[in-house]
Amino acid sequence: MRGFLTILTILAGVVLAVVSYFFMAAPLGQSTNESFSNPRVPFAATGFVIGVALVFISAIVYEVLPESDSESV
Amino acid sequence: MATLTNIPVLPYGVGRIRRGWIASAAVLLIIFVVGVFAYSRQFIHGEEVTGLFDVGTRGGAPWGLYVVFVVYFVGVSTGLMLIGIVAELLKIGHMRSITRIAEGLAIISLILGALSVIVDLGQPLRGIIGFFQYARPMSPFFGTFTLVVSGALFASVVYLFLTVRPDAAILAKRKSGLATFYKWWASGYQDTPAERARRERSSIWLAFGILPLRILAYSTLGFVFGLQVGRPGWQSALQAPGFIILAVVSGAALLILVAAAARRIPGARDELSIPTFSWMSNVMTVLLVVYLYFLLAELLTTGYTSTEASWRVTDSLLTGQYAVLNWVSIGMLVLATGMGGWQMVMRNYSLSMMVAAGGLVTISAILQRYLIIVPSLTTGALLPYKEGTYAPTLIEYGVVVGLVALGALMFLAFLKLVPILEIQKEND
Repeated sequence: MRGFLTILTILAGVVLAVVSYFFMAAPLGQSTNESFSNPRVPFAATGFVIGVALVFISAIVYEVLPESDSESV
Repeated sequence: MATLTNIPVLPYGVGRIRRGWIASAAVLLIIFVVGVFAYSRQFIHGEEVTGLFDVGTRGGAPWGLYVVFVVYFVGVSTGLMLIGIVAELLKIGHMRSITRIAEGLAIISLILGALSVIVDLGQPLRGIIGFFQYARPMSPFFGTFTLVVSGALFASVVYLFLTVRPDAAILAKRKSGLATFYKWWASGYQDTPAERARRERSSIWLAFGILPLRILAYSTLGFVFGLQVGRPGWQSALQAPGFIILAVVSGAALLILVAAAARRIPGARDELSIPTFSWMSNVMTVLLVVYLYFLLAELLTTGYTSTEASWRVTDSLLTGQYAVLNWVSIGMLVLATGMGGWQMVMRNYSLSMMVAAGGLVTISAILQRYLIIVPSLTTGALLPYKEGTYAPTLIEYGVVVGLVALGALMFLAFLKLVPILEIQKEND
């Protein structure tokens, strides 16, 4: 269960960071007007920050979650 | 060497507030309050009270002392974290005793770096909200601040939390006013073989995650300067690698200074031994040679092939208004390299000489950042503006000194909450 939650946290973090960066923040196509100065979705940078943080939180999930009876290491 | 049986209830002065500590904290608090007062003047009256002015018609530098210390603090933090993690990862015996100090200092330096950014902003609140709302990934600032804020700071805190956890579990069992705090920190750690194996595994994975992230984050800060086509003196392929080398050099220098002071902590003297310092001194010396080589390569390149604007910047460093600072800074680096190299060759290390070299490098590292940032702004204009100047005001000095005092205060608090050396190791 702990391994599953750890991988889930890593995946959630990576997906959030990648989606925020490439699909919500980076303007796609050639810049034609001033709207290209802003990210496509406001607060996309916040999503990226939370994504990277989640990847590192996975280490806490891995170490701190109590061991279940069926698990060894 | 200390063992669990002969160390006091809480080792290394943790939780014990003595008169010396109170006196140091009081002095630092006063300096910090002076810094807050200086910043309040800037906040009320705007950056007009600073020496920061626009380039060109106003003949100034919009980036000054604050940005110098952003680069310095984030660099020191990067260097310290790299040293700490590499020592842990490669299990370099002598270096392991300073990893805890390195990790604590790295987090504090990063907080100070973030605060230096905030004090540099005319409208700090608008800057913070605007960053999270409107930051664009094409800008090197996006990489710098998202990776520094999210990656570096968060990852370092997670790393410290997990590495101290086994020690917290030991301390939680001892009778003290901090037992509940350590119980929370230990969060159920019982030092079973399975937990130890997990600790080992996650420590390696975290290190592999943090190392490239830290290098990437600080390189991106180098790219903030290196990618500026319109700013002669900054645009260089060597900016990012130079930033990383200087980061580790200044991190090692600060670590030597702080670790030497930490030898006064009861029980720490034996662990923080001369071989530990000699390792740091050797790392610092070897990388100093690399950094001096980078400086020389940059000087030759700009000297032979540069444009007129680029040569003006180089000339201001060699013979112009920044020549004294530049030569003093290079002289300090060369002297520190000589001191470190001499000890390395003779295999005879003196703590006072290593501390002196660390002091020289720390001062020079700040000057180097100043010389990277300011001359290009005041003398590197591509348009025909006359040469500008930048002189920090008392307000700027007050804010920076206040920030340094805040960092020292945080480190004093860190010493009273976290054992400066691993006690789990003693348990083994």
